Amino acid sequence: MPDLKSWVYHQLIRLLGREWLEYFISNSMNLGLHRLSKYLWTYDCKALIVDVIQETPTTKTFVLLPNQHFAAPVPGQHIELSIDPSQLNEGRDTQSVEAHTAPIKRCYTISQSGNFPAPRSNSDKKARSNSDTYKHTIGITVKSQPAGLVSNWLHQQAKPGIVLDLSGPRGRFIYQDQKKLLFICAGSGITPCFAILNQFSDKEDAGVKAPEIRMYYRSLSAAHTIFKPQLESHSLIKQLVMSFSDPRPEQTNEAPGETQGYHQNNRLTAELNPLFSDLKDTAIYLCGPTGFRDHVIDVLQSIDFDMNHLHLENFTPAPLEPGGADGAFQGKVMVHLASSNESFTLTAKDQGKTLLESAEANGIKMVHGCRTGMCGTCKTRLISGDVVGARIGNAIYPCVCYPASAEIVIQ
Amino acid sequence: MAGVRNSYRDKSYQDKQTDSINYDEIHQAFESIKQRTSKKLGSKDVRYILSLRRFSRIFEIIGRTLIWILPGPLALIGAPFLFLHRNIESIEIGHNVLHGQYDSFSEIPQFHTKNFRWKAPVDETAWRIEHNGIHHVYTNVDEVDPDLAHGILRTNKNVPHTVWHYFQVPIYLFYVYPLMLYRFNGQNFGEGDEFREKRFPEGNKGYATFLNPESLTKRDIRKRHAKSVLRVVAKEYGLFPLLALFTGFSFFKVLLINLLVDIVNNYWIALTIQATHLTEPLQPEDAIKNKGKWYVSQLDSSVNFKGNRWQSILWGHLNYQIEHHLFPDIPSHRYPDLAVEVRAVCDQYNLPYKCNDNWRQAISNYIGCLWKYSFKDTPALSSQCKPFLTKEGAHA
Repeated sequence: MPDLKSWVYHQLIRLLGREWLEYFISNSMNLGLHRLSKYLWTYDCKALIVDVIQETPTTKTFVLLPNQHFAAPVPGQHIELSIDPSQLNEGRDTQSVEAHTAPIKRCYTISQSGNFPAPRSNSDKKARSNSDTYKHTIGITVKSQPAGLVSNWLHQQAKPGIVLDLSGPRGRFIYQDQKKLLFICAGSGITPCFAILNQFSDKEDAGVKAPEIRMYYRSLSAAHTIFKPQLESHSLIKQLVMSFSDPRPEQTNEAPGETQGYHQNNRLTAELNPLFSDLKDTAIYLCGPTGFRDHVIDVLQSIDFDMNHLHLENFTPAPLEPGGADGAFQGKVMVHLASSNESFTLTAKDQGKTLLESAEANGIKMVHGCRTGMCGTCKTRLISGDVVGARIGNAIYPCVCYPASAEIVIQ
Repeated sequence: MAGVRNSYRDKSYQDKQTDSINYDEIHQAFESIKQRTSKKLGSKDVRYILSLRRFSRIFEIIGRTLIWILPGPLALIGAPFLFLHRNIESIEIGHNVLHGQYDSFSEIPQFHTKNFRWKAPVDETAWRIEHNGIHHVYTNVDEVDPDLAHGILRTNKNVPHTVWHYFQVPIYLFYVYPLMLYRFNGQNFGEGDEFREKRFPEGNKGYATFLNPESLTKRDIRKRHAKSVLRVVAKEYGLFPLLALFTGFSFFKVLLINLLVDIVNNYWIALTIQATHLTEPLQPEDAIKNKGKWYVSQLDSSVNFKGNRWQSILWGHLNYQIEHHLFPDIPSHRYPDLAVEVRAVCDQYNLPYKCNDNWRQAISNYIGCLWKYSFKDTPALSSQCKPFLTKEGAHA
């Protein structure tokens, strides 16, 4: 009876709120209750699938209800799903999955959170304005990749009632109070842009002035355009250019040719040009497949765009060469504090600083005591990435350790 | 003998021996003990904390059931079991887990600092900052260590004497200690500062003040304070008495015995933690700048008292206060073994290693000091504080 369970969880989170639910759950934690519900009595962030919505022939939105450990996301951030290989093997006979023993991890952008935007024009789809049903949920919009283990499993097997392991929200692809925004996206790259866009429709009532928004969106065809009705009817988009790389409407299950197509006869340059008329004070948010991204960057370079105002969504940061005799990292390091959902980037000026010092240099407070590795107050858990210095297993002392990988996630 | 004691009390070891200490070697010696022990950590420690929790649960079930179903005064038979549960959870598990002693074992997430919830009316985060971050670093540093002169306590002559201090022995023995754990939040959130500011002529002079490291608002503090107390009060004085009532047993019997156990447990903890620092000399503030000096200041400001391994569990191994302060994040059940190595280093470098013969002696020393500093100027009463059995006392 997954439905009853989901209903109970949803009611609990609605009635108590995540903060008081966390208080009750964490103080009543024991093995028996953990066995009763691995979704609530757990130290890990977990989410329940409460709904699945078909957006386009190849894209589905999964509405997830995260448990009390999930911090409030900032629009544009992503989560990392961890799927156990045994879960993947259920109901399929693929051999490729068996090779995996560690959980398979994939990042997906949170395309919507809290209340959903205006209902879609399609009458057979559920009315999304029903705010109660979707309160406290997040949505991830996933495109089925032909060889994708996780995306295919999600599309074929995932149904309401299944509990997934996920990380807290992460990422710096978020709105930073700029006056003018230009979104350039392709395919499922629309998802973070859509989330950023929708935070303004929420704020509109509160009297906060929304920025000037323009958008370029490339997709395979009209049928493959994710969130098409919402985008077309969005009141805040000043200028919207939708472009289709393949005009054949009947094409369904085939992935668009990602690298070919973008460079064809400089179509992209021509289409982007009208949007570039007033680039002063404009921040560009770029998200899409690698080929598309590279081509847009070429175009931006050709018009001398100031790259400090370009925001890129990168799920896999480019590996930076490690340097220094002690193994400490020389290049840019992304540090994310999962418990408070805060991130900062270490640059050359943070060279030689401990994790604690560099966090403070970036205006982030971390609990600490002696600053010399003696008292253990700062001791915390390393979730991913690597550090050098005081470390025992996964426990690290931020006051006496230095980053050693390009991305570090600590609790 | 009293003279020996007094010379310790007046000046710290470091102030007396200015040039004869080789701090680098001392640093190396203690650091190597720490490294050796860290390498040994493993399944033994996991088993230890898991079996403690198991025993605590068993004691809880036995205790609560007996208190629930036995009639009238017979229900008191359950009280010692409930006491064992609450005692083990409060100090041997709670205090040590919140020091991060079990953070490096990924198989027991329930004993990681950030996941752990104390079965005591104390806010964990504020306590960790105050206790681990300040008390364990600036131990016995005047006006910095909040545990040195907490509440209205006067344990050294740097604290200006007020009329309140004449009554500090009865105030602490009959008013503060019976609900000791419930007072922790007041200190960790700076509520004692307000009292002293209002009532003492010289305000907070001589006392450590709350610096609000988390930048909390008054509202945050009230909320965190209330939440940490609520969980204990709701369980001990709400849930279990009501369960008894609804099943046809006595509400008040359960409530009163739970209260009794709470008070005994609080008193036990108060007497354990108070006797291990306050009789020791003040330490120089700059000891933190040099790790060797820091180790010496920790040695000089802590005092052990003797007991066997079973008793030590009920004291949360705080009778091994010296080892605890040298290595606060090494699992506590290793302190008895560490004590041998620490003592050897102390012998080698002629460092102070202080130990009371038993708990009773530690308490009477401590109450003697409280009594002595009740008065403005009392050289005559200094013999109340008994001398230490420096090294030979620890060898038994």
